[in-house]
Parts: sequence; C-alpha cells; structure tokens
Amino acid sequence: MTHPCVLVVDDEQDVRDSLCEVVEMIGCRVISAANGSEALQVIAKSRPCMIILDLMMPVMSGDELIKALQSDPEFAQLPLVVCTSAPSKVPAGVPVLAKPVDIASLWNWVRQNCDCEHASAQ
Amino acid sequence: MRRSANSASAAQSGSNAQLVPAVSELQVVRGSANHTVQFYETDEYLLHTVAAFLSAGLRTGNPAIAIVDRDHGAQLSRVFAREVTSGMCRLLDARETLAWFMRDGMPDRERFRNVISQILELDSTATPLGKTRVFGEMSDILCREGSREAAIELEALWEEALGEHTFALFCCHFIGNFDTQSDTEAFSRVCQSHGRVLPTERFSSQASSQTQAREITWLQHRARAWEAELERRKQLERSLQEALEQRDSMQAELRNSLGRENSARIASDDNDAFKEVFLSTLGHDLLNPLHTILTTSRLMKMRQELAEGTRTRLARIISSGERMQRMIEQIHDLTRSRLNSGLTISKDTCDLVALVARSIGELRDAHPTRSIVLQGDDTCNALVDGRRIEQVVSNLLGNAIAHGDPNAPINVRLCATEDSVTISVHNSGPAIEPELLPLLFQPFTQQRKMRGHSAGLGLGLYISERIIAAHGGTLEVVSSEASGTCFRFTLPLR
Repeated sequence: MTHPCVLVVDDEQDVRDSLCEVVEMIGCRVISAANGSEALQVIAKSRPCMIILDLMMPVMSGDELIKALQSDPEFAQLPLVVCTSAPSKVPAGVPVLAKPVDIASLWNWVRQNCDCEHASAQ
Repeated sequence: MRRSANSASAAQSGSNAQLVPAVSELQVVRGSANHTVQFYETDEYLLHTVAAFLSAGLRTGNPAIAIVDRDHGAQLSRVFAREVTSGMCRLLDARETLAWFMRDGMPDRERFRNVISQILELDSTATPLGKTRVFGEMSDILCREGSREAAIELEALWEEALGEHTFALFCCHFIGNFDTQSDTEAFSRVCQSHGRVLPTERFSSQASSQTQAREITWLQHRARAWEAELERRKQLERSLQEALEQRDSMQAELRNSLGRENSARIASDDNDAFKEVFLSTLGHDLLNPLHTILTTSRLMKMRQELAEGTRTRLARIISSGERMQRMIEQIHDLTRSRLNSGLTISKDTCDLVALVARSIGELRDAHPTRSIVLQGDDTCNALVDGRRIEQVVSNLLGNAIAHGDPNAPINVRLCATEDSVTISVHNSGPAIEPELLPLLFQPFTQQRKMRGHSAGLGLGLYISERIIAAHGGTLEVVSSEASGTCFRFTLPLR
C-alpha cells in the first residue's frame, strides 16, 4: 500500500465527493474531512501526504487549519492547496485553485507534490 | 447744545434713569433738624468735626455726650484737653452701650428708650435749661460690622428719642460702607432719617462755593460715567449670556447630530452586513454547486466507454456550466466594485509576456481555426495581480474572436518602456457602433446585434476597466471600419 494518501477537506459533501473522485482517478488514495477540526484528527491518525482544503467551513475554517498546521513542526511542511470559490481570501503564499476547479490543474498540483515518503504506513 | 431735563431723562437708558430717583430719594427728609449725619473718609476728619460739634456746645455751657469706641474716645479726650477750656464732655463706650439695648442682633426699643432716657436725664438734671449735644457712632459701628438693618433701625429709634427729649444728635457714617450699587437703598434710608446730611471731607473741605460747585460737577460727571460703564457692562453681560445660551444650543444640536450620525452608522453597518451576505452568496454559495456539476460532468466525459450522444450532452452541460460560472464571477466582480470599496487586487511579480501567451494558448485551444499572433517584447516582469490581468487579456481576446473578422488574424502586442507596459489586442472587421463607444466601459453594455445573445451579460469590459484602474492604469479603445478595433491597456511599472 504505497499509494500517496490525499486528504480532501470541504464542508459540502457533493464538493468533497467530486474532489475525491478527481484525486482517485490518478491513482491516489483519498480520505476526507468536513472541516478543519475533523481534518486535524484525520491528519494525526492517517498521516496524509498532501491536503486539498476549502477555505470557508464551519467549526474550524481552512485559514485556521493552515495556521494550526504551520505552527506544528511535524506538519508545517505538509503540501496543501486551497480549493475555494473566494481565491482573493486565501493567505499570501498559499497555493490556490479557484472553484469550479480545473481538473487538469488539480492533477498537476497533486503530481508535483506527490512524495511517497509522506504516504501512510497503513 | 443744552438739553432739557425731560429730554435728557427720556434719552437715558435703564440704569441711567435709576440715577435720577436715587438722587431724588436723598431729598426726602424724614429726620428732625436736630439729627445730623456726617459722612467721612478718614478718622482724622471725623474727630475734627465731632470735636467742633461738641466743643461748640461746651463753650455755651451745654452738656456734651460722646458715645464712641475706645480709640475715638481716647483721641477725643486728647482734643478736648488741648482745645476746650470749659465744660465737660461725657464719654460713653459705644460697644458697652450697644450691649445694654441690643437683643438678637437688633436694637430693642424699650431697652433703648430706657438707656437713652437715663443718659439724657443725667445731663439735663445737671443743666436743666441747656440743650445737650450728643455724638453717637453706634449706628456706624453696626454698619461696619454688616448689621445694616440694625443700624437703620437704631437711627429710627434715635429719631423717636429726639421727639421725646431735647437734644441735638450728631451721627457719623463711613462712606466706604456704601460702596456698591446694592448699598444705594441703605444709603438713601440713612440720609432720609437725618434732618441734615453732611458730605465727606472731599466736598466739605472745599473752601469756596465755586470749588464746591466744581466738585459737584465733577461728581455728577463721575456718576454719569459710572452709570454708562455699568450699562455697558450689563450689555456685555447680556451678550455673554446670549453667547452662552447659543453655545448650549449648539452643544445640544451637536449631541443630536452625533446621535443621528450614530443611527446612520448603525444603519450603514447593517447595510454593509447585507452586502457581505450578498457577495458571499454570489461568490461562494452559487459557485460551490456549480463546481460539483462541472467537475462531475468533466469526470464523466473523460470515461472512454461513453456513447457519443451522452458525450455530446455532457459537453452541453459543461459548456452551459462554464458560461454560468463566468456570469456569476462577473456579477460578483460588479457587485464588489459597486457596493464595496472596489475589486480586490493582490499583486505579485509575474512575467506579462508568459501571462499573455498562456491566455492566447487557452483561446487557441478553444478556437483552433482562429489565428492569434503575439508580437513585441520577449519578457516583461511587472508587479500585478496576475489572475486579474489574465482575466482582462482573456476578455479582450474573447471579444476579438466574437466580433472580429474570422478570416483575419488577431494581433496582440506587448511593449514596455522604463515606466510602463502597454498591451494591445487588435482585430479587423466591422467597427464598434460609434454611439456605443462612450458607453463601452459601463456595465451591461452590448452591441445591438449581440443583445439577447447568450454570449454574456455585457460586464466583461466594465470589469476589465475596473481591474486596470485598480492597478493605476488605463484601458482605451479605437475603432473604425478602415483599421478595425484595437483595445489597449497601459500599466505602470513603478
């Protein structure tokens, strides 16, 4: 089981499912979470090698999730891309893909950031 | 010019008019002829006149009584010892005498009568035929100590005693006891209760009647000057009062105004909250389901096993979804630029040549039959919002493809100077309707032949112009049948 593991974080199930399907099509394993807080639990448990996340979410926003990860030395280098319909609100320096997302662009980003050393040991 | 007394009175203002009755009051005499009051400024003058009054009686064998304080008593004794050879003046301590008849701060009538009777009987017994001369300064002492009502009451009791006994009474009052305007009434009453009123040494010491007349004239002048000054100050006080009332009124108005502004701000905050909800709905809530529709459709279209009919229908869903996406994004931009402070610009350094080439590449993919030529500089780094500038270039290229001659190439040119960069998009073909040119960068402007067409909302050029303006640049257009249409925007590089 050496497929890279990608975490998709979005509060809307339809969006989450479609993004998961996009990532699965290029052979990645996908796990998902409905907000930043859930994502932190999943990250600690499943150790994904990259994250695709929405910005505006209840409980814990994408912004807050990014800050939490950046302040944790273990996850500060974890590749992430924000997939949002409000790209102007993404913090500076964070990669962003505008919704409706361009599938080819998302695939490119996943391939560029694929690092199997981060893959889950499961 | 001389004025009659009446016309002068009529011309006088309020407080000046008060001066006339105040003087007239002094002419009212209720006191007996034996009751004299001497106003004085210095003790020296007072003792001089008192000594003259008493010694005149002593010299004719009449008794003399001085009811004085201890200092004055001692000084009078010295004067008499020096100047008076006959008779004897009886000195009574003024404060002790006051203590005999004062009760609760006021002279008691019965006690006063008893005391005065005893004093006068004593002397009239000694010289039954003579007229006793009495000097008293008890009223003056009461005035000095602030017991003005008691002093005036005492004068009345003295007046009563003058009706019951035969004696001549010489009173005194320090003129400084009546220095203020509010003392005028008390001053009048003191004057009225005496048959004779003697002015202070300032007037009495004048040698001749002419110098006295001069002094009176001077005093009249001073009185009028002070009355005028008083009126001026009252006027100032009224003006000050009016200014204070005006200030209070303005402060109240300011408070009301602040209250209104606060209400308006709250209403404005509510309005801002509405705008945010509206923008969020446009930008987020509508695009999210569209994302699902488009992404799912695109994923399905990628599957090889699809029948051609299904593939065509999926392409139709995707095409419509993409058009809806553009319209939502344009309305979002329009709303943000109109309702809020403008479009959000996030600048970063990027190569404009690569950016333009990327846009051209996308358009070529979508319109493989069209020729798009890029000319000019090979590279041009600028600090811009790359996503937004790409949006402008795509819009201009899309317009050129939609409206230009399909058989003629679209020419894109990028030229940079030290200070600025200009990017132009030119197409051949029919000119833009002249009446439309001034409105071209207004929202919802479309060429007549395009109205009702599903190409767009007529917001593309408006948003492009706003994006260029937000970068401090300009977007302009020239269009003619002969040379075609050229959109050109210039961005500052510094």
